Amino acid sequence: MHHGICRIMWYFHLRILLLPRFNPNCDIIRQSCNDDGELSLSLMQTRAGQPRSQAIPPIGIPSLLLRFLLAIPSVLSSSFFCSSLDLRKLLMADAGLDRRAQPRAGRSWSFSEMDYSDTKQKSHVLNKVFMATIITAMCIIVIMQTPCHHEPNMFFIHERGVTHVLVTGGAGYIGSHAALRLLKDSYRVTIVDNLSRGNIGAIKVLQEQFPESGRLQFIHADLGDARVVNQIFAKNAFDAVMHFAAVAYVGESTLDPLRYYHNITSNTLVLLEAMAAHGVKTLIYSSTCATYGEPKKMPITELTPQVPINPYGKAKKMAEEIILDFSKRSSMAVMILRYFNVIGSDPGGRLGESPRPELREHGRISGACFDAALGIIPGLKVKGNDYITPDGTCVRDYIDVTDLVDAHVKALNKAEPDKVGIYNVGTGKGRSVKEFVEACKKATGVDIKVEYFDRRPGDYAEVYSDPSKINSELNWTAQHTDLLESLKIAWRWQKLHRNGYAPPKAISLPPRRVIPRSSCDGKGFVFFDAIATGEIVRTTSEEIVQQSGCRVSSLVHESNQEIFLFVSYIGNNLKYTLWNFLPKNLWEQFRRFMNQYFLLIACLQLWSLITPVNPASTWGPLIIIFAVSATKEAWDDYNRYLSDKQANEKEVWVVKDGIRKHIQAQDIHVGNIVWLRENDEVPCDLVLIGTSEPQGICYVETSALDGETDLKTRVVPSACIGLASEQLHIIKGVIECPNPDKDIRRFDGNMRLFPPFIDNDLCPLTISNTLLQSCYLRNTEWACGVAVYTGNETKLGMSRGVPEPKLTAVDAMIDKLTGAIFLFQVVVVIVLGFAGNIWKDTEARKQWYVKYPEDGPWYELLVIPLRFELLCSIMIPISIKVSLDLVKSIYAKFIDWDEEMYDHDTRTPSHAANTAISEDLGQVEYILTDKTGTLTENKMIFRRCCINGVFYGNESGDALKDVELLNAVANNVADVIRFLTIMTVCNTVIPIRSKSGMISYKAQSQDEDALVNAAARLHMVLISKNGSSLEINLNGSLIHYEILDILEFTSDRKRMSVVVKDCQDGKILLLSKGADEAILPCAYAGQQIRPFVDAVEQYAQLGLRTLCLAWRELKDDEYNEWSHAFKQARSTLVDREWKLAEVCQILEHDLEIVGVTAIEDRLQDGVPETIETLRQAGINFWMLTGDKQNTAIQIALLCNFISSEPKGQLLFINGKTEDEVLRSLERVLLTMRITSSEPKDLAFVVDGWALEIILKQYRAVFTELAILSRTAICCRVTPSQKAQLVELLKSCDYRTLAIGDGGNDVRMIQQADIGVGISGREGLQAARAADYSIGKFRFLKRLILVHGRYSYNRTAFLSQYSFYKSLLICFIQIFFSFFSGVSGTSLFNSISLMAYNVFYTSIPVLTVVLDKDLSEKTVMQNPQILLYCQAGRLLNPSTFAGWFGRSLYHALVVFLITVHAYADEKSEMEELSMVALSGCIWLQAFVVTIEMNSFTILQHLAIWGNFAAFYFINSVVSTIPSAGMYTIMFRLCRQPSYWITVVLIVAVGMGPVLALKYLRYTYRSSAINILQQAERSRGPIFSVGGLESQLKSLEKDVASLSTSQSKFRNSVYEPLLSVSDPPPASTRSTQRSVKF
Amino acid sequence: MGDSTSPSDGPAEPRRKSKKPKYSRFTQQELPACKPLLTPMIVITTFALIGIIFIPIGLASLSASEQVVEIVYQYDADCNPEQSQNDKVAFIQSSVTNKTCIRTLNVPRHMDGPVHIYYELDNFYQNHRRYVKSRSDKQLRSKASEKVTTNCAPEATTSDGSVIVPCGLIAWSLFNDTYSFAIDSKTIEVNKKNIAWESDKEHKFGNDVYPKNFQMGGLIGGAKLNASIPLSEQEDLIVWMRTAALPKFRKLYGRIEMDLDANEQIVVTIQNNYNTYSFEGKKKLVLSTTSWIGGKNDFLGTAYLTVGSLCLFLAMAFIVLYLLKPRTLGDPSYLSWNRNPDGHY
Repeated sequence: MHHGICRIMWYFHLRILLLPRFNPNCDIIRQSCNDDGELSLSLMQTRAGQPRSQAIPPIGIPSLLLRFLLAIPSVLSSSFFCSSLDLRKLLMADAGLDRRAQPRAGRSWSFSEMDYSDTKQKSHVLNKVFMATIITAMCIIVIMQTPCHHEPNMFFIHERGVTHVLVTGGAGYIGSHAALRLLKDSYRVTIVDNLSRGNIGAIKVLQEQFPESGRLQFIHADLGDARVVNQIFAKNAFDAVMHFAAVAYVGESTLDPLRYYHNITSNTLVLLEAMAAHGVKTLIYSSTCATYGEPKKMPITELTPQVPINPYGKAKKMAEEIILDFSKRSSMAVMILRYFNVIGSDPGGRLGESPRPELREHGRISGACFDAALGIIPGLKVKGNDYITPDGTCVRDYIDVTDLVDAHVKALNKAEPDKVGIYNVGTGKGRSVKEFVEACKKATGVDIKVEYFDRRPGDYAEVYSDPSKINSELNWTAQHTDLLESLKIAWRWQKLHRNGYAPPKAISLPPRRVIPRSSCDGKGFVFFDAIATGEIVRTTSEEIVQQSGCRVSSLVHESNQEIFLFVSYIGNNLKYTLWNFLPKNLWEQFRRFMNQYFLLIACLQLWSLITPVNPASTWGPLIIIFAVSATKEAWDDYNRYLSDKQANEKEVWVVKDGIRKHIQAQDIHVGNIVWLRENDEVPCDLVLIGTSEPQGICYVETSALDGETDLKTRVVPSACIGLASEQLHIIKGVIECPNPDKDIRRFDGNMRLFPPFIDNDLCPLTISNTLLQSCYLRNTEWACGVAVYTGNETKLGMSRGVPEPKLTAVDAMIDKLTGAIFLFQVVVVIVLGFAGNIWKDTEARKQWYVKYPEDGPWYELLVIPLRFELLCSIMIPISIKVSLDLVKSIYAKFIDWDEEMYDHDTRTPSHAANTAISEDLGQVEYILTDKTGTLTENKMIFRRCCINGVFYGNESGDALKDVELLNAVANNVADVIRFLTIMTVCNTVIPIRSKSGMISYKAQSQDEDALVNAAARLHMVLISKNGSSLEINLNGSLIHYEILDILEFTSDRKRMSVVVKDCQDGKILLLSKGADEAILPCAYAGQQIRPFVDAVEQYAQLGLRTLCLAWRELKDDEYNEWSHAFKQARSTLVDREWKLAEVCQILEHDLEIVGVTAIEDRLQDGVPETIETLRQAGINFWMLTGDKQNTAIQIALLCNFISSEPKGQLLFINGKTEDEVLRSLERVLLTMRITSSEPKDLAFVVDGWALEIILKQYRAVFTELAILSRTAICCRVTPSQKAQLVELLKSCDYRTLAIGDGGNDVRMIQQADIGVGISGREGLQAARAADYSIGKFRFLKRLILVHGRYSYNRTAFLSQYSFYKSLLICFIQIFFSFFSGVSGTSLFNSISLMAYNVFYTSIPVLTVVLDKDLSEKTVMQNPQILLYCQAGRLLNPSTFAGWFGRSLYHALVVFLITVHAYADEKSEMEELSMVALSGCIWLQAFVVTIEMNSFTILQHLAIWGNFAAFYFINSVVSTIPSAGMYTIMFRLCRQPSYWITVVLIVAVGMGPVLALKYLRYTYRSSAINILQQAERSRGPIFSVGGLESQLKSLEKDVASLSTSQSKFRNSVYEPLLSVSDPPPASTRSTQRSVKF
Repeated sequence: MGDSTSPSDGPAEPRRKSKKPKYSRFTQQELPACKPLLTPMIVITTFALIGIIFIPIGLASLSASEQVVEIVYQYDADCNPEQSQNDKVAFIQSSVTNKTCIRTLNVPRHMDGPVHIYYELDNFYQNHRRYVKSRSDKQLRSKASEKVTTNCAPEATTSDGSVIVPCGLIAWSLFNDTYSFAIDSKTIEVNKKNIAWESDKEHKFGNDVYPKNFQMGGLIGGAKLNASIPLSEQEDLIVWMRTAALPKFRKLYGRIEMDLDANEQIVVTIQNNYNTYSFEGKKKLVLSTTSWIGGKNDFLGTAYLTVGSLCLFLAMAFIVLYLLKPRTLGDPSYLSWNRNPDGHY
């Protein structure tokens, strides 16, 4: 982790030194670390006068360099030492935990070693070596330069003649004035303030006033933290302490007394202790006259008895007493000053009163007057006008702050050891509130509206003090007694500082630098501070946010100053920026091999010696293709930009400077406190810290994230429970959170609040304490939380990642074919190059008109081969990639658009997230499916139960209607009630009462929902659940429970439990429910579990889901002990889940089993039919489920997965040990081999345990079994086993499709060639991870048979056609080269070549996306036709050979006919080439026509329009004199011989193709042809009866052919089925064949 | 907080509704389509039609070609004196030898004027890459781009660096044999006007471009040009510059604007200057009339007749096949899976 820190600090220091304008106010934040791994105090010090800053010369490059060099030592020192930073230790230490509890690190970086693997350590070592080297080198520089980074700390030494005063609370109103006065009087001042009430602005003003070093330092620390205070005293030599720091609002103190007592007394105590410990002998304590209470006699003298009447006064009195008592035993000089209402401000206008806005209401009257004058508040509320005073309002003694601080300074000067002085500071003259208000009106010139209210509790009528003692002893009198004058001065400041102290000035920032992710790894710390965000924290954190572009996670050490550790982007999903688009996009495109090839060709073409054509012929298409791809990317990115913008500019409420502000979502930084109202969308990942609900809960709808539509409860972490909303405006703390990840079910963090929210516990955080981005807040008025992940680092953002590109079988085949063509091209080039060179040497030298030079350059031999390479480069079609991408995205769109795959129930359309793999859908051979939610509806209905051996619901099939059960409930039969109680209590269901009083339940699991609903119908109604208390209505009587702990359900534990306290008898109960194998072993010794096992068995037979319910009573001490362990486990960060499970295990034993529930999970519509059809299509099904074997088999039977006995046979693989499993496996395999020839439906069943052994040990045997078996059921398998099975099938070269709906299927879905997610009840997780998401299982049929099949057919044609047309033109060029002296002349001109490739031949064929060989209906009725796609029969080397041959033949036809028709006087180059080109265009159009199966209007347009375009474009080009084909087209079109030639080419070219096709079509027709014929002659085929007899005769011939099938195939194209062979599949079609 | 809740932020019901794909025939892939089938009827008709259409066209073409009267006389060997038969190259390259060659040609049939005079070269690779690129169209077009000789090497400039107009190998190797004709010792006028394409004269060869430094180098390629006539009127050059796509080609030399009667004896005086001997090329003099299909070329006619008859034959064969081996189209019993109902492999 320290890498990150070092990095940041490095930037940090660099920044400080490189930027002369950096934070002009002060605060160079230095980290000095001692090697113990602890940070010493880091101080904000005044900067001017320091050697370092003086060393900063004006800007300029040399000076920048110098500064850089200067920076290095300090960077090094800090980064080197800070590497030892132990964040966790700091946190714990900060929390006041005993340090012994922490494992003491031997070396300082041991913490990081714990977290990192060996490789990390290596870099560690490297890092150190690197550091050492640099240090040595830098030492020289350091010696040469003045070593200026360690100026003496003047605050640490006592200096003669300089009094060093510690002013606590020096950022506050009075404290800051006192500090100002002290500084003016040449004191050395240290201010300590936690800024909870004080204002950093005051500090900045002071620092601007006294910038010299050694005058003023500010320490941001809390006096409540003894350790910090001690350190402050240890590091500073104070001569005296002026103690102002305290919360000081009378009104507030009555509302929050504890806080006042704590703050005032405890802090004073801590301070005193520290003073005693460090020998500081002088204390000036700023007390209050409120300690006198309501004295009988006025004026108040020092001898007036102290009878305070409000918590504030009382606490102050206590503090005084503490001080007095202590001073008696020490030689300390103590001065206590008591005073009342302070008014006015610095006459110099530098300082003023600027209370936190939220505290205004508690504020002093002067503040209120000004606020009213400023219009911030409507008017003044005077509380009480019936006091016994002259005008009925309270009378108070108002003292000017200047006088007050004067008194303090005088007291300081007069303080003597062993002496205690107590003085009242006052004018001795009371003024009534009315008087005051009048003065105020005068001072401000505003007519302030005054309202009178009832008296406020704790206020007394008339108070003024007698200042005679201070007058005589300290020689102090109030100088500023003119109320009006004081108020005028104060008003002047208020008017100029409407918003209090000015916000920090803007800082110019260096350009963004992005810290690589790796340096941000480890855990992050998020520091949040509602008040200070505008100040220290923000300036530093923000600049690093901007500098690094990383998410901030800061960490705070003892003195509350922060070191930043960094993290990531702000709401930006863009791949490109405006500037990097071109280079980045080009780079991405050129990573493709094909593009590199074309670029090479294009570059070679620039060499005019070898290029046969204008370079434009390659550059043109290349640029067009690149432009198309780039435009697509740009468009995508632009859409992302728009959606980002929308999300980023959403307005949210964020607390800044203690005030809620409306900002844009993109400005949310990590650590900000975000407020949400009901129905707001959560803008980023938050850790909840407060809600409107007193129990600290809120409800969120997470459907956007995981698709679950139920409301989820989110709870405020324990540390924040009970915080009022005002407190949330001043809260601060630190959250330790893991690195961003995409696991939306997990968040293992810790949180600790800082003073004044003292909570010594590290509070563990889980996912239930978070509000994740894109969730909606529901049923909760408001909630607020700390932003922990923003932008792309949110859980949602992380899971959005771009999926790994999957390569389809078709793509692989195209690549293979491309490779083959490339080889062919190389051969052609070598042969022609060789021939060309020979011809050149033998013939061309005689051709005097060619003028070959005698000696060519050295590369002469290469010239001709290279020319041919360029000539042949078009063999590989440049447009194929783009065409394919284009049509593929249309396939995907067709899926998205398909109305028939729109799920009306859930209103979800199907979606193809992966647009590139539609063809694979048509080639699926194995489907691995999940059961629950995929095959079934996941809609649970409670059907039966067995309570203590009694079966309910067996007769009627519905336990809820079972009279016996109802009677038992009515009679309060103990077992039954216990059973129902567990059903009702042991869950995470939330009851929601609607306005009409109806109770509905929101459950995360459908099973729980079913149980609670069933219990409710059995008169055990769960009424409410408020935090931990739970109410049940049983037959009209209310029962209360308190939930103590929830032992959550995990898929490993397979059970969940709750610990509840029965509020009636106080007993603590453990209630459990879970799978039988997870519960039954926990039964207490001696319980008869037989009946339950039987019940489970029986229910499973019926295809019901079973749960066992059990309970146990816990003893108090047992629970307490366990509870402690549980709490600890819950707060671990590493392996939390595992540790929790272990702890849960401790409690869950000796249970009494109460009963078994049986829940029905209904099959989805159309599942059996879908499976049936797909199996006919030759697709093998495997069912992978986590459910029990029996349930799985039942479901399998129900949905046509397997057949029952005579037809089918189930083979079980089981066993507990390796040997057993092996034997079982071999037995099954043997059976499979023997019976594979029998028409029997074989399936094997294996469970997770055996599978584990098999996958580890007997993979090979199992693979064979997998190949032999068409059906398999795997029960109780884990998600990773599911993925392993997919992998196993993939390794056998099968195309696999995995379909599932839940999070446990995600791995399987990602592993498979095609992942399909059902966007169902269990959420969207699977759907998000999948390539395709559909609403219902039955859409799979259409997805595969219609979309998959069409896609495959279309791509097969398109790709082969692309090769065909490229080869066609290339062959013509090759033939021509034999007529041109093998010199590499191009027959076609550049424009024609370019247009041919990218235009004429590409456009018509794109309409293939509309081609349908068979109607959807026919395909659905004859799913067997899919075998053609599966076997890859439309695209394989042999079909490709056909196309290759066709292009060769066509090239010959075109060339020979052209050459002969345009011989002799017509053999003009340009004419002849145009004739040949026309021939090619005509031919390819007819090829498209003959290969297309259906013609829509678009196809006609494209094909015939293309002709028109050809002639039109060429005519246009023919009018340009310089185009190389000037007038050619017009000349040709006038010649009858041109048209005759072209028609001849078409006839000769297409005649044989047509004849052959016809013969094949009619006499060797494939199944597709037959169906086409059938469909078009008679409409779709329906069942044809009476075929049996006819078929029998055929059977014999077929039998001989049918055995040759092997599933061991080494490549995909080897057909599973050939035309004459029977398909290997369709074993199930035995009976169904009647259909045809 | 919470005082102004905005219900519009609620669950996006309308959004969900709009998720339903919009119906259109295109999106549902239901565009009406015609699905032609290769039924015997269609295929046989097609072939028969092709046959029926092609044969007349073929006959027409053949007859057109047949009408063309053509006199071809190969003179490269003939016009070589006996003594230099062994060293033809030396003969042709020598500047002193007499290269005039007088022969008599017989007119086989009546030839309607104008009679086109072609010279035919064989084994001459005007399409050789080195040759075909060695020209500068820009230079030819206008005087302004006289210096544009980028592609013209090795005939771009003279040895002293001044530009050759017209540059390049093509121009340099301009054919320089000449013919003159006489019937009964009466000279026949050879019209050498308008032998080049009108478009070439107007747009590709400038009327302000005059030959310059042409054929001044050490090695003389072919004909010289009159430096006082602009290129646009140097029609021989323009014809020559239209490169041929094949190594055997004819180029128009001129026309005889009169009819030639059958059995007339034409006396041709050939200046045999052009060197085809070093690469064993052939030179022919061709006198030919034209028809609507062009010169004499039996290929198209023959091809059409062949294709037409083949198509007719195929049509017949398919009919026979259809009758012998009738086949019900779309009989599902042919489906492989239906043929093997119990098909357990």
